[in-house]
Amino acid sequence: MGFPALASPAAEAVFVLDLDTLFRRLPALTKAQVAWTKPRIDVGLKRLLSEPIDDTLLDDVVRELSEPVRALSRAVIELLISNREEFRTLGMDDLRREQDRLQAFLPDGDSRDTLAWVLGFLRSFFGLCLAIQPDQLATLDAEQIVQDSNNRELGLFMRAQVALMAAVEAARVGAQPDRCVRLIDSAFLNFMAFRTAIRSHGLWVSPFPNETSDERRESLLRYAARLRETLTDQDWQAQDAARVGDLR
Amino acid sequence: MLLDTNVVSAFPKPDAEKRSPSLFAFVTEAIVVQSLTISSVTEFELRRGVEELVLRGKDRSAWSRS
Repeated sequence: MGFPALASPAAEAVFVLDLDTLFRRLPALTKAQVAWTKPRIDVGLKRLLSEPIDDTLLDDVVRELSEPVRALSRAVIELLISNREEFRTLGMDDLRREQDRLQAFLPDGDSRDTLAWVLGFLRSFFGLCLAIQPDQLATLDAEQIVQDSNNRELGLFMRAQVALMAAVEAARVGAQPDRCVRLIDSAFLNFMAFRTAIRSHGLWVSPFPNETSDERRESLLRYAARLRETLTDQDWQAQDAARVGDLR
Repeated sequence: MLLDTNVVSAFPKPDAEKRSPSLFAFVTEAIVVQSLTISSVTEFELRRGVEELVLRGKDRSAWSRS
């Protein structure tokens, strides 16, 4: 089991992407203790909604948000320890609600498919995190997690999570849908890289764990049709050039 | 059924139905009625191609900003 690959991101995950929703779930005392995190996170997310998006900006915002997100994660873990089953149900419901809101906001089927992958992956990953005993999460050494901030898997996870939080915020405030699409694309690319990275630790997370064979077939045909519409002959030349000509 | 990379990449190409009608019909039917799979080598080749396209996309966006 790839516990090391899972433990640090699990300790950094906020589990809920919309801060207002998350704060409503927190007990009054905890809410007061972490109240300082919200304005700092809001400032970072606003940058992602107003400045030109690229990897440099995303890394910059992730650095700014690292401390408040970590504090918030600790609060969530305490909540998990006190009432895991209730939080699991509420957390998954919140994710579904946020998916519906984003789906309605996105302008095309392509980005809605990407969103379905991203949130499907996140739900599966959170499900795995919730399988870790909360008291085990609570014993993770805070210093170790800070050191792990340089760990590649954690970096990819944080980039994806922050991009997705900004996408949720974009839909909430009615920003340009194109910006929301770019943020979701960024979350997708980083979660894909994260998934590949944790796979090397023996941890496989499916974005669609409950998909039936019929749904899978329908998706395959739909994705193939979308690729035909999207990729040019030049793109396919690049794809064909990536083949391995000789395995020796 | 194990599909090779050339089959997997020919199927979603533009006009695949016109360019390779028999391959198109074969893969469509195989998707509907059979369980398909690909090898790790094919997965690697497809990922490698997608990474290349992603990098090109980054190049394009960098150029359009400059």
